[in-house]
Amino acid sequence: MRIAVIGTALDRAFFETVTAAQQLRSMEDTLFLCAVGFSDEELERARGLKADCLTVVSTSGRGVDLTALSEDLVRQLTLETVLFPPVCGSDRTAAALACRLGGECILDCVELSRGERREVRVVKAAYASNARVCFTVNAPLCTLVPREKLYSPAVPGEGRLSVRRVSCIEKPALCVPDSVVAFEEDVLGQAELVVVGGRGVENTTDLELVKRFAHALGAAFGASRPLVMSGLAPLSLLIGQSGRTIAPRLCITVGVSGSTPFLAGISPASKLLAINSDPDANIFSHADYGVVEDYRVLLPRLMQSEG
Amino acid sequence: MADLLVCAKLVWDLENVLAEDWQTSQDEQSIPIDSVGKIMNTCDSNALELALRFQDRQAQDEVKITVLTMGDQRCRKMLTNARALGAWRSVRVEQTEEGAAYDSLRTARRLCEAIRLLGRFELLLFGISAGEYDMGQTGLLAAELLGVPVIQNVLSFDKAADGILIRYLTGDGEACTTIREPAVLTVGTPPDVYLRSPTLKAVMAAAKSQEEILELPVREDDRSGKSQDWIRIYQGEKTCQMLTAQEPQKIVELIGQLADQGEGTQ
Repeated sequence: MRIAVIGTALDRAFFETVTAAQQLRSMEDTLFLCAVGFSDEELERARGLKADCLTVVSTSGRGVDLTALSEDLVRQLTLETVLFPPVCGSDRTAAALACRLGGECILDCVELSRGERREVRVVKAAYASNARVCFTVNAPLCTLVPREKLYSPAVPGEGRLSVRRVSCIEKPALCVPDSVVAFEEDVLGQAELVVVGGRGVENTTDLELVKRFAHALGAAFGASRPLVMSGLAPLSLLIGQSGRTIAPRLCITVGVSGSTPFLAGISPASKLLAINSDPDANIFSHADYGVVEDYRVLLPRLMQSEG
Repeated sequence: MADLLVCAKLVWDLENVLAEDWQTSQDEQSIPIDSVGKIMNTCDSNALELALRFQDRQAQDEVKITVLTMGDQRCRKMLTNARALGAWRSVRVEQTEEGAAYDSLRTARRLCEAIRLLGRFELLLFGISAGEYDMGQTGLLAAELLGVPVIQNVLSFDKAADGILIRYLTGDGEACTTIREPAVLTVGTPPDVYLRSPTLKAVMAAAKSQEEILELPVREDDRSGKSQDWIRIYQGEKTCQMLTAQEPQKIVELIGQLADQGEGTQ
């Protein structure tokens, strides 16, 4: 099988996707790393990754239609499985590419492996993360986007991949933003410990308490949708389906009920500790550890113990 | 005049499934959750709310909203509600064919056939995903099949001097773009967006009319097997270990251990 990772930047998402591709790959397969618009420095680093070939595609700049370019790459390299790093727009490219070439696309893959006939086998979350579904793909082309922050990033080594330069069809993207207001420094995205406040945080006094708790632990602070809706927290701190996805070692939720869109945003977290006064809160079905208690009582005690 | 189309799906109300009811069927091909009701998919209802807000800001009759769904008669209540809220028209693509297997692509194809019959729309709104199989592709594929751009994770949109200004989230910030041609917008759960409730009077008025029904011929492709073979559906094995609030020191120690020694997942 000819497998490729197609990426537009040598970032964490690219390295994670290389790991996913390496897990999918068997001895007989060929793994291409396709670097679209990488800088020379990025290319040099990428050469240290474990694969069979580094395919370099030069582009004229931003705003390139990645679907058209990938379609050309698939034809040139006769690819059968293509993985895209989980970054903004990848799902659109993966879905459109599969549609154009009669393939099958699976987004948000949590496990990738090979079946008995060496077909691609994928596990993904279903029923709002309450179940997982495992299926095999029987299409001539399979496009995949692994779940963000689930795989450990591949680390470049001493090896030096052979480089092949190709030119591809370059079309302008159908839609590019007029302006982007970047979120402030990505403290949440990088944090190993995150405290998230939810619906139970009802006013500024409560909010201060949760923030002080986060500060005492040296944790970053995030918010679920009701907290942002109430105006107590800014949009940049929103965690969930329409906000950010976080992957800390430990996520502590305070007064969060555990709605489906919120759970999507914390799914890559290694461990989840939930604090909620309602023993039937849905968050406990998804947590590793739970404390049933009013956080207004519990957090001061924890901070006291923390010293 | 702006014509907006909102695609809506009737889904199981998963938020109301009890923890003990998450049991996979014996053949491991489904989770029988028929005990809960069906509702409009949350992301689709947020898309409808954004469309209604856009309509509210324009002069009367300036914006016409069509709600399109695919399914059987169980969709009627959802469509009546949509009309009661201000949708001008509701259309249901009949889905009664035996043996047709609908995955994201086939659904998108059928919706696009219907959209082409219904006319030209400035904006086509889809929920980002539906909380059943969570494939999250129907809107993306519809854009591809219709040959129009797609803007994902839309927060709001409004009329601008030279088109429609769309506010949306990207991976690292909030972006704006003005579109002048038809586009697909996908909507997740923007922080201040919940579908409003219709008045009883409006529901009664809406109930006097019915949705339009489109019967489209089944394509040969739709009868053939899917290109994905489901092996099994299963549940994760996560169990929550409850800690006692009376031992804060133990909780603090555990937090310290987990934060320092958290394991990777792969």
